[in-house]
Amino acid sequence: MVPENAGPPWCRSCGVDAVAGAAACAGCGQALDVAVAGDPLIGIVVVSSGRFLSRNVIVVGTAGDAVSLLGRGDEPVTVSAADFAGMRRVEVPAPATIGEAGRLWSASRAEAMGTIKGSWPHDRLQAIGDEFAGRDLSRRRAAAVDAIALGRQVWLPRAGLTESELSWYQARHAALRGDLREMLAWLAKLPPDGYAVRVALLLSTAAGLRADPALAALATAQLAPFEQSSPDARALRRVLGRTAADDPPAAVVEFASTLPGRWGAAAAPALAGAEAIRDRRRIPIRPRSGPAVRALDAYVAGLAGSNLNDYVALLRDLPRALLDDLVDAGALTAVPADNGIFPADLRAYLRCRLHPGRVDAAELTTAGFVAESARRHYLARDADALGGLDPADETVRHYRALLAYVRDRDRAHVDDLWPATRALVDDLSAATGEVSEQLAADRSAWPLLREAAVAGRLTVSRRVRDAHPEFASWFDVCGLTRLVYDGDWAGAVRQAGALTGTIRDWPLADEVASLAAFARWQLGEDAAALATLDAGPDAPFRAGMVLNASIIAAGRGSTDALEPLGRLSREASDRRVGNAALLRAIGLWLADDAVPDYPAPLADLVHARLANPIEDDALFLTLTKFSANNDAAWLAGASVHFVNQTQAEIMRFFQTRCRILDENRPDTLADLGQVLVPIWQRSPRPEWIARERDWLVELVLDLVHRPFGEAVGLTGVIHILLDGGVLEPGERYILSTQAGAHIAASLGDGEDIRPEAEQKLLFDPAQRWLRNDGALADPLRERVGEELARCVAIAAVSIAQSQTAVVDRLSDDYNAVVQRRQWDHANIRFLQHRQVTILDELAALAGRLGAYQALLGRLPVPEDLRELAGTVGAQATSLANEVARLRRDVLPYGR
Amino acid sequence: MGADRNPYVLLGVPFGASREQANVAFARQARALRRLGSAGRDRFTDLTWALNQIDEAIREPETVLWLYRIPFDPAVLTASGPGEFAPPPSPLPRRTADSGAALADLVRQAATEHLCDLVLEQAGRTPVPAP
Repeated sequence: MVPENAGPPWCRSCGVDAVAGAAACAGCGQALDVAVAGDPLIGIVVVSSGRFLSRNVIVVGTAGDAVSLLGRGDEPVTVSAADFAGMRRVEVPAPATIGEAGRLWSASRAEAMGTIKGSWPHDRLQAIGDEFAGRDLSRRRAAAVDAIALGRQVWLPRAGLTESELSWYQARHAALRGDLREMLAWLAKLPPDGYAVRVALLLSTAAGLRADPALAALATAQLAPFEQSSPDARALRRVLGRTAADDPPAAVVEFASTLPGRWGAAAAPALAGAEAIRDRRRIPIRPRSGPAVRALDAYVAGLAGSNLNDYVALLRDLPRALLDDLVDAGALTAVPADNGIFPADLRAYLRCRLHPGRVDAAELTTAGFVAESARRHYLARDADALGGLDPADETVRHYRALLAYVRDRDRAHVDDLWPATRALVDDLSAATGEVSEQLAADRSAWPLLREAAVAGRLTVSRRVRDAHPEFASWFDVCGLTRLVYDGDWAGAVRQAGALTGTIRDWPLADEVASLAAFARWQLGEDAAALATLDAGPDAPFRAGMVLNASIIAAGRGSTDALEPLGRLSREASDRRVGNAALLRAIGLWLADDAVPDYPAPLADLVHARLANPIEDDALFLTLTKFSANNDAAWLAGASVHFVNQTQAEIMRFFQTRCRILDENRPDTLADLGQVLVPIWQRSPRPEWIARERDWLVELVLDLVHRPFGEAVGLTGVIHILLDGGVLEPGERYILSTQAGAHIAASLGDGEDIRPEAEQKLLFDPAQRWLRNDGALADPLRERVGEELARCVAIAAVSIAQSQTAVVDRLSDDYNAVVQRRQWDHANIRFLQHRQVTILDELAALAGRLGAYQALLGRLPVPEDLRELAGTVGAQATSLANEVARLRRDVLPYGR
Repeated sequence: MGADRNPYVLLGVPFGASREQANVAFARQARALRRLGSAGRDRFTDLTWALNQIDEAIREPETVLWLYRIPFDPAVLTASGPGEFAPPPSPLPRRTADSGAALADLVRQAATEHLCDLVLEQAGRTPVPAP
């Protein structure tokens, strides 16, 4: 049997091609027989069922209707074909084989490896296989292939085949195993120009060969002898990359032309693609088409009119010259700055070619686009930057010369100007007389003519006016401006009237109205001037017109100016102008005595501004503070936008300040103090907080000076201010002792001031004042001392009064203990201890009052309080003496 | 001047003009006033005041809201279109020469790729030959 892919006849023995129908090789004389399968039943394993058990047996022969099965014993048994057909077949796990011997060897091998159970004698089955193998050339060839597949190399010498034939079978087997290196080693043993079948073998393994350059090189060498005769060999050599002089477009067409006979209809697009590449036409893209194929197709499409902006990924590897072709053809019109397809230098180059006005300075540098750099430096009037560019570049020299002329009217380098520019510069240099048509036609030249035009040194002919009406309008506005500069208000109004209606271009038409309004304003016609400006709320917003209207309106009062300033605040594109307009509106109102109440429209503007981010902290402070002063009820509950910590602090302070004024809110002065202190302690300290500190301290000082005992509620904020280091020395003395005095004066019978508060608010400040640490100079120190002494005196008297009830209670306790000692002798020690304790308490009180007595003796107590203060001393002395006397009574019992 | 005095108008320069422009305008007008003798003294005082305002008092003209603006918008002065003195950007000229060789090279690459594509597909369709 000849396998399906056997192809044309060829001699396995020496490898040369044979003539179709020949029986033997013309070269070596060997028969052309090919390996055959032989009797297909030979080697089949079946299950033979016996009386007691079943066993596997193998077919080793057939004759007519009989089948010979080898099982136990050396001799096979014969069964009929019918009985054999009823036996169950057993699959033999083994490599694929071709012939009868191969199948028998496979079964023997499987039985030896234990993958099937066989009842036959191993050696006997091997011998039968060998016998089949040697029957004829076809069986020997099949057996050789099978022996190699089964690893039975020892049999090969018995095949009687040539070395080259065996090498071919070895190479083929290595290919089947995927061992391409061994395949190539066996192929190298073949005659170099024989065994053309190896081309098909190499082609079948092309993917693996191509992946390994070393294998590809060996394979290429194998293919060389067949390059002339085999299109496959030629194509494969090119694919494996070892061809020399080559014509790939022709090669691909040649190979593609062989495909219709092999692929059928599927070859059509492959061949069409090859021809399109050769002819540089649009290419039918296949799923596996590579980047060069896709790039070539895109290039061809671009030149044919397709826009490739959305397909730049296809152009990634195109040479710069071809990209230039696409730019020139208008196929590539945009490359975004964030394009990640092209490398940075190429991206910069393309962007400079496509949109030079949008590339940044770094891209200009990368692309070396000096001309555009020079243009930008010229437009920015940056002579230093222009000076840094290469003077050898004629564009650089042009812009340097142009800048020198435009800025300083310096004509020293006009020879470096481009001819067209040079001609205009020459026209401009005349500066008087009639304006040339070229200048009138070039709008960029008009600003250079303005000064001469306003000064009246130029004229415009009828011909130029008719040819360039826009220039004529511009020139007429210059004339109108001259009248204004000259103070010819009536003339300006007349001239503006003549121009109105003839000039419709913006901004010239508005400039005519603005100049006319200015002239009318100077004539005292404010209402007419405002009407001329046409900048009312229903007119389109033009910042300059509205601003000019606000200036005229301001002369009529803050209310009139509020509307245009409000528009500016809301609509000006320049945020600085909007902010300035709002501040001016506030300033005008504050200066306008005719409008005492905060205008609601102005409040609306302030509210709107504070509701949006304000980057300028100073403006934020101004608006917040202004609102706190004029719109406290709103600010107390406003939702304000702030952009940083500074603004958050400002808002918190002023909102708290507003809230303490609102009776419906719980916030107190102490809350405001709590907000103020951390801001005050910040380094650097915000300037604005100093004024707010002064305000708060003055307020507290004002509130604290009321009848003693009534301002106890201020002690909280005073404590906060004292602890926060917010107060000046004089303020500290006064507020602390005032707080102490108010607390003391508010005490009821038996109540007392906390010792630490008494120390902090009364004794400490008094003693510091007495030490006079230099913080206060006279006469301030004297004034502070008088008030401090008054507060301490009031506190001392108040405490003495409140403690009278305590003395009475302790005295009653003491007397009760004395009474009890008369009869309770069992507790005499306890009662004695109790007496001592009460006397200690009374002594401490006497000591406290004594301390006040001593302090007041050193302070400048006001005249009106001296007598009252003296009672404290008397009370202290009396109490101390009584305690001393009673102690003597108690002492005989011991302590 | 009846309404508020405007230093730019007094000097005859556009609103927002630089100190240099103001100085030039002042010098030009002062020369003219010298020819008038004592008759031009008041005018000279006005010009001196105006120059001082522009020199010292006006730091950021864009945010000045108490002076009438002439022109009302800077666009009146600036060029309203491109031209020799306000040139628009010009594209970078092509820096590569004839693309013929590059195109031929691309065609060769594409042909090689396509050949490889076809050969590998044919390889996938080719079995190991019979022995």
